[in-house]
Amino acid sequence: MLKIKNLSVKVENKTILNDFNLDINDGEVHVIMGPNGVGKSTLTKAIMNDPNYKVLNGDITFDGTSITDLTTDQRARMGLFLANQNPLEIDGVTNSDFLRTALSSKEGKNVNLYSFIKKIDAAVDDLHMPNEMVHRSVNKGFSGGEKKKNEILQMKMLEPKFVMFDEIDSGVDVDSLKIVGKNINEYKKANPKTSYLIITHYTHLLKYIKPDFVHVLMNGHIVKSGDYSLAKKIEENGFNFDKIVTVANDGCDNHE
Amino acid sequence: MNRLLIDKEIKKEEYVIDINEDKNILIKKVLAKKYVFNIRGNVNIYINVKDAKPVTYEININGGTVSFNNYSINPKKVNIVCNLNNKQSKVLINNSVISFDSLSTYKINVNHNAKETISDVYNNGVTKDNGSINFDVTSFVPKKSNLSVVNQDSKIISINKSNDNKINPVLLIDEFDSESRHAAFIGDFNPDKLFYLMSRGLSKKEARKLLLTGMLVGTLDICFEEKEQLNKELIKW
Repeated sequence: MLKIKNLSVKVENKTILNDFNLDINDGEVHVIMGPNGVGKSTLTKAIMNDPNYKVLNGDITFDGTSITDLTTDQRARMGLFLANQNPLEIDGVTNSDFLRTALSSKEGKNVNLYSFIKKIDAAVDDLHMPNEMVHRSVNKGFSGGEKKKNEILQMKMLEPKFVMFDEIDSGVDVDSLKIVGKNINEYKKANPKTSYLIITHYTHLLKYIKPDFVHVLMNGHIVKSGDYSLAKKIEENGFNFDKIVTVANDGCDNHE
Repeated sequence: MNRLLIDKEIKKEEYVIDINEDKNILIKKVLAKKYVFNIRGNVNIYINVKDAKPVTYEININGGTVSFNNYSINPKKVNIVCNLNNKQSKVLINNSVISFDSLSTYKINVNHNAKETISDVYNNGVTKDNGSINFDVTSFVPKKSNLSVVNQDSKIISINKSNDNKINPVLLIDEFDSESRHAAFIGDFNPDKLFYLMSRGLSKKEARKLLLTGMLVGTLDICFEEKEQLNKELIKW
């Protein structure tokens, strides 16, 4: 599905990702953990081609096609999706106008209004969001949890093939996290070939979405990979590598 | 709610409208030099004009909430004076301006003449070709108008490189026990917002179009059908 080869990324004259490599196959769930500022969000922004992040070298392929030279919207229309850590507020643009335009762009034709309303109403109900939120400006006046649910709503509407969650669990209360987790799991069941890249500091979300691989990112590249047990060890011990290596050598690969 | 439609020629220089009930007012032609609204009630005013001559709107709020929405293409000189004369009176002023062939000047004065009054002034403008916009906004909170809240927010998106766009926000606050804030921005659309929209599959052109209609039409406090109509006109433009 998604292959990242020797990717180096610069932000404001500082190289954040350095020779980064990762392969994600169809239907896999990968988690990236790491201390603040090591390049976790940079990775997701580089995959989506945020103009603030400059790719110095390396290649990203999606379903066998290099996407390195593609624009953000072209990547999105291919099926890449980023659920943001801090979703932006867009005054005056309603959620429904935004999503209808996005769906029309993806499908290359105007979306039928009746089927759009039916789909968005069902998605809003699944996420326990008030119906009026659809007619409000994108994320304007939404709480932290509502903004994250709105990102999941967009995912459900646009049906991407590769989904990145950048700290989707931060600023979300326990009940909302449960709803978010349930919706992601239902989406996963309905779209078994979809792959996921989850950026997180905690195992909260991973209790609902079981990862196939957990990676630790440091100094711009992956230094350790393992399974769910690695995430639990990190939560217990932090990024104290001596402890993680000695107590978690079950199923962990050291990359250094 | 009743709607008052003003679309006929008015010979008078000054046109006075007294309103003592909840009402919607729609002005489609601006031919008088001055419109005076004396209001007691909850009133929505919507003005939609093209190439208007210099005009003054005086809004005297003697109780209630007024939502004043002014959508103008190539206006010359617009003067808005709002007097919040009664306790807990409230005004929301939304100006959406498109200027492409001359200088459009907006002078807005809001006077908080009573305590616990609230004013929100939102100016959104777009300049293209030979157009320029000046927003000159002054809010005044005199002594004894305590617990009043003032907000000014002005934004001009310059599509043309050469323009004389200016925003002059002025807060004259004599009462310590009040709350005031202002924001002003001249430039292009926020690249982070463009990225956010494009990350959902919208092309750059579609994203800019959505931001433009959102800023000029979406922010107005008018009904859905009127917004749809304005969006259609704006897309043609």
